[in-house]
Order: sequence, then structure tokens, then C-alpha cells
Amino acid sequence: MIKSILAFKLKQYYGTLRVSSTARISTIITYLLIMFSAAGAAALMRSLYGIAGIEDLPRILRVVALMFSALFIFEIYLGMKGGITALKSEVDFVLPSPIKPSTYLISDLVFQLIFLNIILTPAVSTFMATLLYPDERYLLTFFIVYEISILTAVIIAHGLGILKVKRYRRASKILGWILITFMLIPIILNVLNIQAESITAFHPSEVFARLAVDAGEALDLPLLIMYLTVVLGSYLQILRVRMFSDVNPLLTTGFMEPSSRSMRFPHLKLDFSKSPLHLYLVKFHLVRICRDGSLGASMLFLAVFIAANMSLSKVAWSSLRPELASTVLTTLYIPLIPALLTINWNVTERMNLWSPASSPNGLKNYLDGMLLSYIIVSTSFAMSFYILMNMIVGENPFMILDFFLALTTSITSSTFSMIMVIRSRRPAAALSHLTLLYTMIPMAGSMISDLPLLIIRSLESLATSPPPLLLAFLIAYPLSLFLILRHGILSASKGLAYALGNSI
Amino acid sequence: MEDLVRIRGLWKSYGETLAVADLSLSIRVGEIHGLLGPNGAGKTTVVKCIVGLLKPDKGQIVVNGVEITSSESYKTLIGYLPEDPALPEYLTVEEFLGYLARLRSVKPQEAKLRIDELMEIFNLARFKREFIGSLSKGLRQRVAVASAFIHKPKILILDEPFLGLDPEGQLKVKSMVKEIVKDGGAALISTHMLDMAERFCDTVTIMYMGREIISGDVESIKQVVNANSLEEAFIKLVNRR
Repeated sequence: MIKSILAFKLKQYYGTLRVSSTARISTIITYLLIMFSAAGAAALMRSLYGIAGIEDLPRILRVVALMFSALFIFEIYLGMKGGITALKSEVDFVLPSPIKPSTYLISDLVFQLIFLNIILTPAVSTFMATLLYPDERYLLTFFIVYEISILTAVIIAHGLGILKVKRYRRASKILGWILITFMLIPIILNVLNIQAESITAFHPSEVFARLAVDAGEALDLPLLIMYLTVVLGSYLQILRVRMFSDVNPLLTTGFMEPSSRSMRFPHLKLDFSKSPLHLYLVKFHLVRICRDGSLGASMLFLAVFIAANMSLSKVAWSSLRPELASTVLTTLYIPLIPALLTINWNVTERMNLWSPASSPNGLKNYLDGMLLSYIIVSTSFAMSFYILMNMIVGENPFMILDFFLALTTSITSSTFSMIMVIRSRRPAAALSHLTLLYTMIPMAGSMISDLPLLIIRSLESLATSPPPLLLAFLIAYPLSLFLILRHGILSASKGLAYALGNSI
Repeated sequence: MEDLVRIRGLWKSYGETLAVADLSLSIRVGEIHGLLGPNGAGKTTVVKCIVGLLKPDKGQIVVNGVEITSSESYKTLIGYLPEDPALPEYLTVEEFLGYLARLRSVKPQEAKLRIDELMEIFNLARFKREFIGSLSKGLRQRVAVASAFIHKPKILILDEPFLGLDPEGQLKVKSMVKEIVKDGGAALISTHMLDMAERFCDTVTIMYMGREIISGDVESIKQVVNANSLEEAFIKLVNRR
């Protein structure tokens, strides 16, 4: 039975690869891009930041510990969202069938191990192989510990999910946040430059990291065994729980609130009788992303990514200008916001487009409002992060240039994200390899469009007091980018209407 | 009588699958036209082509004298209800109807009155401030149907409008459709509820595997195949193929 359910899940989830050559090609492109980026990131750390293979053990340990923390945080987050990766058809047809909950849970556990390995392992292995080169003998140890960490993380996610299903929603949420905070400790300590050996000696991410690169201390192996015993022991109890009520299709709703709980922010009013149409539609999209939980998820992801990367820059970039490092990192990660928003849009909103599509110029107006709202949200986020990080780093922010940098990043990444989903014929699940493509292309696109501004930003004298001509360029550049890219989106609206007709 | 919708030589296929082949039909002012056929006959494809959700491979669709590929302005005249309408669950009933009113250029004051009127007609008044996500399937269908009437359209294009509606809801939809048609409008109803089509539609087109097999007023179709009801005529015609 476990095998049948697993086969059903795999066929459903990876079904498009069986029938569509476009899906197969885009998957190959995605993985090539991911592996190339992972190798690039590791090479950058080695050359620019001065990490020299395994000989630079303390720094390698920091990086690996951060990686494990990020993995645990991601799975804890999924646990808080439900933890069990049932697809819609499973909720409708498999769960009501006479199967034992434990059978379904074990199938899901194996599915998640496969799914996480497919999504993460190519990038992680490329990254580690490049980082550890030429000492690849550590790779095998790393992979054993890495697989144990994935197993542990999935079990924790299942545990939290089941706690939630069993009507302990609040307890699951509180426990989830406690665990996320706990997993963030190595990152926070690193950002704040605090040495706390009493914590790092027992922290799971640190223990996993030390064992992964063969630098385990005397207590590490017993600690790992203890953690695993606790986790597996709890899981054996969990397997007895009847958990089929209230399971939601996590793979599609991973970055949002499931529809049954999307009635948030009822005090946010969307008054149709006020404001001109364009402004009304901007407000409509802002209300939408607040209520479906996309905004909250984007904030959380961005905060974790930026904190982890600030921590990495502390590991590796201490000799360079930290405020520049933080600005560059924020610029790099801001595209995550429109990317996540459009991924969720694809799942929750795309099928509702028959209403604007059947109104005169409805889709054009709708997309225009969506673009503006995404630019407003991501620029505001970027500015808040710049201010926050400049306060933490303790440098005076270059506000004028940083504003234009944030604006340019937001414009490019919002349009790229939107073009990606508009051009796609069918909605992809929130947690799929295509999600990686949806995030990487806007990131790459905005890095290219940001280049002129980043160059100016790195020249301190120009950045602090730009001459009038430069200021004119700073205003004209994002504005012209906006007009060109917006035109691209609006002209794609007709194609979107036809794509909708084929899919809804 | 003037044609409000005129389709000539419509062809549409999905890859290798032919969905509509050389379909022609006209809907005149004051007419309720039923588009009938078994599952997979191509009814929804025709409907989607009219509202601009699908691009025909060949053929011409003219709505109120405007060729639909030349301008989107014709959409102001159309009230559309899809077969399985998805609704934004994060909006309240009032917000959703207001949203559609804005998209369809209804003036705010007029929209307010219209929303209240439709809420009364479809018994939705007490759910006005409820999120659509919290409504039952039947109530959602009422909201979707109400949305088709929000801008007092001249032409109704309704795909299976009675699915999921209770008898009271069905009756209200019928009277709303008749009211619009009486005021110089027209309606195209795609359905496989043949009993209803026989009583409600003035003319029908029966489709089978993408092609029109017969078109005309209900009585003449029954006479042609010597049938007592539209249902019997339909089965006889489909079985001949």
C-alpha cells in the first residue's frame, strides 16, 4: 500500500514531466541554472571571501551550520502550514479511502525525502563540492549527515502538522515559532558577532555541521543519536494519530494561508466606490496579498534569507565594506518578494481571471494594478531592510541611491516575475522545481538591470552626493525601465486571456 | 430582426483534437438561444471564443455589429458566466460584486444600487459581508450568477447557469434573463438540461463532436425528427451520427 500511494504521489507531482517536452526542457534548464549558481556562489566564497577549502574549517563550519539551520527552518515553516504534502486529489480521493494514517504518513515521508532531495541535492552537492575542493573525501560523510538532517526535518514537519490537525493549532504555531527562533540562533549569533560556545556545542545545526565535515567533537555523535532517538520516538507515537481531517494541499499552498483560513484582515476594506480605477486595482491587489497570507510569507522568507546572508557576509566579507555587502545582498534577495507573490498568484488567483478577462480592457487594467502593487510592496520592503541593516551595521545609509536601487530592483523583478507566470500556460505548484526558476530568473534579471546603479553605489563619493546629471540619470533609468517592461506585460495580456481559456 | 451575435465558419482545435468545426449561428434581438450537446461537443469552446477567452483558428464572430478581434469594447455588452466559475475567496460578496462593477465601468453610485438589488434578488443580502471562501457551493453559484448581471448587459452568455442552483435560484435566473431579453437583449445558454432548454429557449443549436447537427426553433426541430420532446429529438439526432 505504501508503494502504491507513493507511486500515485510521484506520478501526480511529476506528472507533467511524463507528458510535456516543454516541462522536461524547463526542468533541465532550471537544474543547470541552479547548479551553475551554486557553483558560482561557492567559488565566490572561496576566491573573493578567502575561504580556502577544508583548511578553513571554522568558516566552512559556519556556512554548513547555516545551511542546516535554513533547511530546518524551511521544514518547520512547512510543518506550521500543515507538514503533510497531500495534493488536492489525494485530499479528495486517497484520504477518504480505508487506509491507515501510518501508511499514508510513511508514504508521505518517503515522498518528501525524494522531493527534497530532487529540489535541494543538486545545488547542495555542487556547492559543497566546489567549496571543499580538492578535499572531496569529506563529501560522503557530508551526504550521510545531510540525509539524516532531511529525515529529521521532515519528521519535525509531520509532527507539527499533526499537532495542528489534532486541534492544537495554537500550540503548533507557538512550538513552530519557538523552533524557528531556536534554529535562527547560530545565524543571529553570527550577525551580532557573539561567541557562545555553550549554545553552539549543543545546537542541532552546529552538531550536524561538525559531523558533516568530519570535525565532530566527543559529544557530537552521542548528541546526534539522542536527537534522533527523541525525534524517531515521537514519530512512532505520531504514526498512531488519525490525521485525515483538515489536511490541506500543502504543495500548492506552501507559501500562503490555505483558502479555509484566507479570511484574514477583515478590517481591511476594499471600497469599490472610491478612487480611480487604477488606484482601486492597486488597493485590490494589496488587500489580496494581505488576506491570502502571501505578504506574511514573503516577509518571513526575505528576513531569513537576508539574515542568513548577512551572517555569511560576516563570515566571509569582514574585510570589505559591510554596508555595501548588506546593500548588495538586499538587492539580490528583494526579487524573492514579487517571485513569491506571483507564485501564489498563480495558485490562488489565476483561475479567477475570467472576470477581468471578460471585461473591456479588464486584463490590462488588472495586470497594471498588480504590477504597481508589487513594485510598491517590494520597494517598501527593500527600503525598510536597507534602513534596518544600516542601523545594525552602524553606517550612514546612502538613502538617495539606495532608494533608486530598490526601485530598479523592484521594477525589474516584479515585471520579470509577472512575465514568467503570464507566459506559463498552467499554474505550477508553489513547492516545485519551477518555483526555483520563477525566483532565479527575476533575481538574475534584476541583477543585470541593477549593474549601473551598483557600480555607482560602490563609488563612495558619487553615491553620497550624486551630481545633477547623475541624479537625472537615477530618475530616468528606473522610469524608462518601468515604461518598457510595463509595455511588455500589457501586450502579453491578450495571450494570457487565451492561455486562461485553455486552462480554466 | 437584428443579429446581436453572429458566428460564421468557426473552427477551433486543441492540438490534434478538433473542438469546433465550421460552426455558424446567429442570436437575434429578443431571443434566448440554447447551445446543446453531449459532453465534449464543443459548447464551452464556442462560449469562450465569444467572450474572448479563446482565439478561434478560423471564422468570424460579430457582436452587436463589432468584429470581436477588432476591439474589446463589445465586452461591456456581455454578461458572462463560466461553466465552473472560480471566485476570489479572499473577497466578501459585496467586494467581489463591486470589483466586477468597477472592471465593467459601472459608476460607483449606480453600482451600489445594483449590488443591493442583486443581493435582494438572489437572497444574498445577509451574506453581503461574508467572505466568499466561507460560503456554500450553492451560494457561491448565486454570487457568480449575480455577477453576470452587475452591469445590466445587453447580451448574456451563460455556460451551464443552472448547475448547483436550487429551484428558487433557477427561477430567478430565468426571470432575470427574460427581463434582459425583453428589453432588447439576447441570451446564449449553453446547457445539457434539455427539459429546461425546451421550455426556456426560443431557438437551439445542437452540437455533436464539434459540429452543428441541427439549428432552429424548438418546435421545428421536434417536427423534423418526429419527436415528442426536445430530449427525444436530441437522442435521435445524436444516435444517427
